[in-house]
Amino acid sequence: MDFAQRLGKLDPRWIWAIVMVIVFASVLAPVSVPVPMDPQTQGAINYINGLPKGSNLFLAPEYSPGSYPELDPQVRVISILAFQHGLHIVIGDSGFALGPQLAEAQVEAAAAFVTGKACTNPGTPQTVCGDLKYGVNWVNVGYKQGNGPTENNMERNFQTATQGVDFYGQPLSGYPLSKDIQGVNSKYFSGLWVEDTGSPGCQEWLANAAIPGNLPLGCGVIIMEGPTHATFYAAGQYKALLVGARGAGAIEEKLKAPGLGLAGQETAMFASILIVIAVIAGNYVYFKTKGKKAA
Amino acid sequence: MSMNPQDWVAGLVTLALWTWLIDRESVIFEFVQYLYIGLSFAYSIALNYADYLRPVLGKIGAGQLEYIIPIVLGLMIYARYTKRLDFLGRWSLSFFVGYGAGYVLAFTPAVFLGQLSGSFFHLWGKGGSLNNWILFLLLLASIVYFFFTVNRNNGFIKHTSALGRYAIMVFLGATFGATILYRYSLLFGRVYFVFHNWLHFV
Amino acid sequence: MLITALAGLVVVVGEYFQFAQNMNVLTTFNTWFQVAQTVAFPIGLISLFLVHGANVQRKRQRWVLSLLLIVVTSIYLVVSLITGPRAGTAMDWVYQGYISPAGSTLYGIIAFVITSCTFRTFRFRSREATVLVVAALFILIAQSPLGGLLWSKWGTIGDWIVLVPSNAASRAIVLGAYLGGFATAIRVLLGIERAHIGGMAK
Repeated sequence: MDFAQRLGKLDPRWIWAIVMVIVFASVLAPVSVPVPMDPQTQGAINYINGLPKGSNLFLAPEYSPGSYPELDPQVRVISILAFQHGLHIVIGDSGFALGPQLAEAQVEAAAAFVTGKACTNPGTPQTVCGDLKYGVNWVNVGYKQGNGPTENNMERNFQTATQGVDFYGQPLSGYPLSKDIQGVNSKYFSGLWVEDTGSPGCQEWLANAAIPGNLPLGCGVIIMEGPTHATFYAAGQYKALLVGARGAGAIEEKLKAPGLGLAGQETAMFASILIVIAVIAGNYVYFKTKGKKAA
Repeated sequence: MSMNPQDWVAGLVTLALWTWLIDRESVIFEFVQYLYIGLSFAYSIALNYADYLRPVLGKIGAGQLEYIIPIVLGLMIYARYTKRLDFLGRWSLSFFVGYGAGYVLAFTPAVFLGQLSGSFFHLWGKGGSLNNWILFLLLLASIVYFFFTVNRNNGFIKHTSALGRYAIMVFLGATFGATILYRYSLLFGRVYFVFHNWLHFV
Repeated sequence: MLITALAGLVVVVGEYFQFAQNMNVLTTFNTWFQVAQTVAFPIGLISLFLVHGANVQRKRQRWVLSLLLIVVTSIYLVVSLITGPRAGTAMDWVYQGYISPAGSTLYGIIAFVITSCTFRTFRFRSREATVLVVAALFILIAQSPLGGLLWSKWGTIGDWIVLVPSNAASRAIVLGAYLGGFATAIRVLLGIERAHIGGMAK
């Protein structure tokens, strides 16, 4: 058996071992890699900074723990930009039960970064991070079952759709931020930001709240969904599109707020080198053994 | 090393799931995976109850009896497990399916029309660009590719659908390239947790 | 069929007709759907328990894992229904320590498989396959910091590929999917499609 044939029969576990080595190495010996700002990511920054100061932003974290390395950094940077711009954030979704809890942890981290003070009582309705506090600067409405119909009801009648309680079971009427909100529309919010991993996500919020409620929609997606959602961004239906940990990393670099987004870029770089080598090696095997098989 | 028992459980769960890489029949992997499926389901049910159903039951107790109708509709689906009352389960399912069909017709046309009008974006006049024309022509070619009921031996259809096929290959390739980075990003997240949050090596 | 059609009709009328909007028909109907779906949601867990219960009863391979799943999930469900999703409760502890890490680890394992699959299957077999592979590699490099390090224009060309040719194909697929959705919704409302009630399509 020649080298090409031996390579073709390689146990995949050797390849998995190489993957482990490069990911371990990028974590244990991190190297700072530049993440240039691209026009789409700058567009996401402009979207947040273009909203009226002091207005409300609805944040719909339609993602599960499986996607946290990509979307948690996005929620964090968007929240930092929002708090720096003086916006208030209302968190709520109807597609992924675990999303709002993940997102609130990032919103708290953003509040701590912006104020420079650690949060007291994190993950409770009594959370205070410097001069930003739960109920005044952000509220977590939580997950409300129902997908599209729930999103549509949130646009029409927020209190009915949420049954008037937040994630902690406390009445929304008890918080200064949420007591008067009647719908996710342009009357009570200036923007709608959705974190998307597929379906349900940005398209559903576009159909159920952004279009009927006349709200500009910004969409943060996992990098895998970037090419699919680009079509809505190019058509002008999304006003902003932030793609993957890379987009979050670029904003982290600009804000000098390093986090998981920036930290993962070295892995991305070595992953691309490994995949190029894998494709070249695989095709070497294919073309070398193709003639032999034909014979 | 972290002294938080939660970090230890999370770290051990991560290592347990990685045993699949060594042995695809790993019992440890299956055990952790089974538990994950059951626990995440239970979590979602409990969350639904706490955040939505309990306030609804409170409203029924306060006299808003109209909520009884959807509760009965929802409970009817469990009748599918009995032979005699199976028809009630089908009625409940019919409600959900009918609602879904109506929802598609009521809410998705706006998005569809936005996509359609966005295809004719700035083809002429100020703001018009070559890119918009390339997009428009490749869109038409891709749509022609999906017409499987026409005669493809026709020269125009044959070459147009071939062009569409190449555009689709570019889309699928771009998506695959992005997918690779996504999966590495997720793997990085877990390895970072193990070395940073749990073992404190970095 | 009647229930399906009526449910769909209420949604369509509620969205498109002013008199129904004035009466808040759709808000009420949406709420009914929400409540009914919340009540019906646990059916998935019941199905899971029935499948694993059958494993235990018939002592199939790894039935002990099935038994553990049923017992642990039931205990967690009861405890979570009592405590609710507050920070520091058992429900929250298991979510942070087990559910969240297990979910992300499972998704991250795919990075390994996708790399070995790329080695085995990405071949320059034909023109279309070549276009797919080249597009995948180009976008992969463009979306990682490697693109910027190799050539300053790599990212710009990558953005063009995503926003023009890839976008065209993606839009064709999206438009086709929406049209298919409309057609299926109309078939369901007219009773032509009856799979959900156990019948064959007409």
